[in-house]
Amino acid sequence: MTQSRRSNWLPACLAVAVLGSFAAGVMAPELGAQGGIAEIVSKLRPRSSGHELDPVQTYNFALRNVQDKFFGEVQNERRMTYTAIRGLLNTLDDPYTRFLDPEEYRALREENTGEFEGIGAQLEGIPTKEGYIRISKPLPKGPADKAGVRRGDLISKVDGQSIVGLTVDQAVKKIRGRAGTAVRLTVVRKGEGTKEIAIVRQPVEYEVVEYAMKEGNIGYVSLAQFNELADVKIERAIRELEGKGMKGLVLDLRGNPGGLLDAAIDIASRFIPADKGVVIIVEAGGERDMRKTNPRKYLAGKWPLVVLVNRTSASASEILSGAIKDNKAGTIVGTTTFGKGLVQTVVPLEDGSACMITTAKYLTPSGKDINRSREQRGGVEPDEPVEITEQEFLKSQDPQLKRAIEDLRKEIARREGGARNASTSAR
Amino acid sequence: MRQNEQVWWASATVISLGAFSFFAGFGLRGLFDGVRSGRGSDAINGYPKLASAAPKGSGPNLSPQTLYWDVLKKLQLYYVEPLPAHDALALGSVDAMLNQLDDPNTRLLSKAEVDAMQSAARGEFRGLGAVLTIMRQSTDKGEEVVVDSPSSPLPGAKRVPSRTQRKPADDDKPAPPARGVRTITVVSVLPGGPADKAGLLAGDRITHIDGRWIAPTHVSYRLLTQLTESLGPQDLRPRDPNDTDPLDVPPPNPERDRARKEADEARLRWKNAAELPVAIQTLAGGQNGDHELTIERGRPTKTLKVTVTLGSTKADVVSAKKVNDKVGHLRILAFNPDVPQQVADALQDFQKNGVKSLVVDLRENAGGSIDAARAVAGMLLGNAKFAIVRERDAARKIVERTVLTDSGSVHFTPASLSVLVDHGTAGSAELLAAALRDQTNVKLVGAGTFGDGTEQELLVLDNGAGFTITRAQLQTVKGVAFDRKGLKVDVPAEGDALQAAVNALTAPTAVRSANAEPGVFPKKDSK
Repeated sequence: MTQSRRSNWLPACLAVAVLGSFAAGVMAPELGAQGGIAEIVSKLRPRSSGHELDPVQTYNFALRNVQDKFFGEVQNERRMTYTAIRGLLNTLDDPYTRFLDPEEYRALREENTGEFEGIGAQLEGIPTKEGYIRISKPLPKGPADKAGVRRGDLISKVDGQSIVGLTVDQAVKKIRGRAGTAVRLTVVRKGEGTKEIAIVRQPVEYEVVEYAMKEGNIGYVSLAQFNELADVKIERAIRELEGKGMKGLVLDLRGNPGGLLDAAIDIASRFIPADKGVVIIVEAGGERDMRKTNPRKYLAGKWPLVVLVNRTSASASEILSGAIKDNKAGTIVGTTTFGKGLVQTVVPLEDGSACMITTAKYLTPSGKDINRSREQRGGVEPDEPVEITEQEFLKSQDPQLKRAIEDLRKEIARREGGARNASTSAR
Repeated sequence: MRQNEQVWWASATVISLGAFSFFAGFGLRGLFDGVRSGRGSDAINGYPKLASAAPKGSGPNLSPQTLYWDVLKKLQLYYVEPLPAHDALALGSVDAMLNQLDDPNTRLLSKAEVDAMQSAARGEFRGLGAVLTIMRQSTDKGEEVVVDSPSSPLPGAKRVPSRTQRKPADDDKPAPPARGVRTITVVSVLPGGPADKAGLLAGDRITHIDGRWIAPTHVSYRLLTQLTESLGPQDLRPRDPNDTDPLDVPPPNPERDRARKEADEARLRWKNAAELPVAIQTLAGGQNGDHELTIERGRPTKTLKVTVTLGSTKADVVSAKKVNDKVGHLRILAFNPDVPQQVADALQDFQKNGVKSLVVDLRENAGGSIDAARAVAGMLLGNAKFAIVRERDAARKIVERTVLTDSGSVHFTPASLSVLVDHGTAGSAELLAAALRDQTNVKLVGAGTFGDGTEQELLVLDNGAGFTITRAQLQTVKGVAFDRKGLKVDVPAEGDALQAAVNALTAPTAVRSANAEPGVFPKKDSK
């Protein structure tokens, strides 16, 4: 009973994995209301007749005593209970299993719905020497573009408040907001001085897949997130690049925080041959489920593949790169990935608070746990480690991409050489 | 000296002290007068056991107990890994609740600590042989706020300008104000014990054990993760390749580099830290053997390293010697329930041997049971006041209550008297010193006292662990709050303090009978 119910909701909530600041939280179907008591009781350990503490009774004992006796100020019972719950969850030593009080839960839900609402502009990752933030790319026809924001504009104030001294992340939080609301940017533009631009935030549909043909017929495809359209767009990009004579492919997953598990499996199926394992999902109770490639989706084989990853490639990005690595379907270049192999489910509670619980974990097809923990750094290790320094960033250099292209050139040359040799010997 | 320290003194309490090794503490009512126990559901206001259904309520009216029960139930169902044992879950909850109260001495005690306390009450002092407490201690960089709460877990982290300070999940509201880092502090040193042999002094702050910094709290992986997220290295995504505008090279930013370096060091420090609860357990006698301690002493801080050999020390809590034909030296190292009888025996011996005058020596006496101390006061003062206790009534209003001496059958009225104290005199020993001085005009000789004016109750749980709750503030009979301040002495003495105390012997003035004051009655136990 429990099992069948779980299998109904788990796939749905595996959808989005939560990753620190990178991605939004998971919204799972309501769990609170289901669960018959009897079923739950059977899973509880019986209260031992020895000297083991019963958590509920012990918490309550401490709560009562503190409220009766503590000389200093005490919070109300509910706040203290929230603290006790946080302490309870802390014992799991899992940074992702956490309690959200009603305010935090509300904020999370708003954050989720507002994720793609903003001004539609890409910002440079490092503030300028003045502390301004440079717009590297307004999305074509996005709200910022329409309001007249241009590449190279330097944001100095948001809604009249200076952003000097803030990090880019902090500034982004001020700029983002719900659709329909307005934000006032003060920008400094070369040769034109200071300008104020009001922008109404809108749902922004940014391209999750971008692609281009590099020198030497090497295709480049970057994936920003694993959403519903990701697989289709990847397919379209690859087919178009193939049509132009692509001889090798760079798949860029740097900064990709993850997304839908199914999208990761579909995209893995583009690069990994039929019926190979993509990911092993382990649920509570230890049950393992190996998810395999979909043979009808396979596109690769005719050309070599290099995958770019870095420390901010997480979750679904790690499933994909881990699967490609384990199946030797491509070379991984960059830095070790984030190390998030856990799935959280948000369990709403009756008083408006919620609990984010790690309900499953991923292993790579070879059974490797990529999750970062006290015991291990985790993450998918690149076959070829390459870093980008700040200096290289400022000079718009991309040594990771450069290495990927070099690798592909060599591989293409090797394959072509091999093919020539093969045909020679056949004669 | 201590008065000038920027410390959060609310701590100095003996219960936790005793925990350490030397002696058990103040208001050990929980321990000595019948331990309160978390056993059984009687104590739980009828809350059902886990195996039965939770009381129902819904929406915002849901009872907090049900909420807790519900979370536990959902964890048991859905959490991917096996849950820790019930004991760990229960203690984790209690620990969080007590920590949130932001009183270093309202805290969880391991079974080893509770055991050490109980053996100390029997005169067997385990581990370090010093009474320790946890106090918030600032650094010498006075104006810099150093925080140890999880909301800003890195000393120094606040000064990092270039990184986002993320609000961690377990930041409880309202955020406790920062008053320095929880630090193990020596209250008093058992003469002849390991700490004494290693040269530890009252007021010493123990910052490292075996070279590892003692982190003020349990270092959870969540906390380490927060450090990584807020301060760790981040990858730069390459710029848009189509954007060929050169970027300004930021000028060198030594401030940022310094902050980042400090943050990196701090992160490493936290990662490799010894956790405070574990360090306490070691010092309380969890493991005998040699340990290197790093000590900070005085202000400005002097840092030194000492090696202590932990072990069990038997000590006479009460010792009585004749200084000369007329003068007796009565030393009391702690107040445990056996002390009144031992003191009574000693005083009767003195009386038989013609001793007329008395030096009451309370040096390195970190206190202990209030009842024991007021029984000793009764022998010397008869019916008199002993202390003023400030506590909460049933409506959580702060009320004051005067505690009287416990005048038993043994009385000793010295021809002249002086009281010897030092930095290690704390808690109920300070109350006794103040009660004698304030009501008989005898002199306090030695050095200013520690300043522990709080009372804790110990509650022991089913599995042997326990927790303490600070339940009262203590004041001298004159209504002087000495917590964090200590008592000043009338005759400062260094070197041969005992001789100075003999020289300072004064005939006590008569004590007005406390019973003459209406409406004030001694109580054995407040509840």
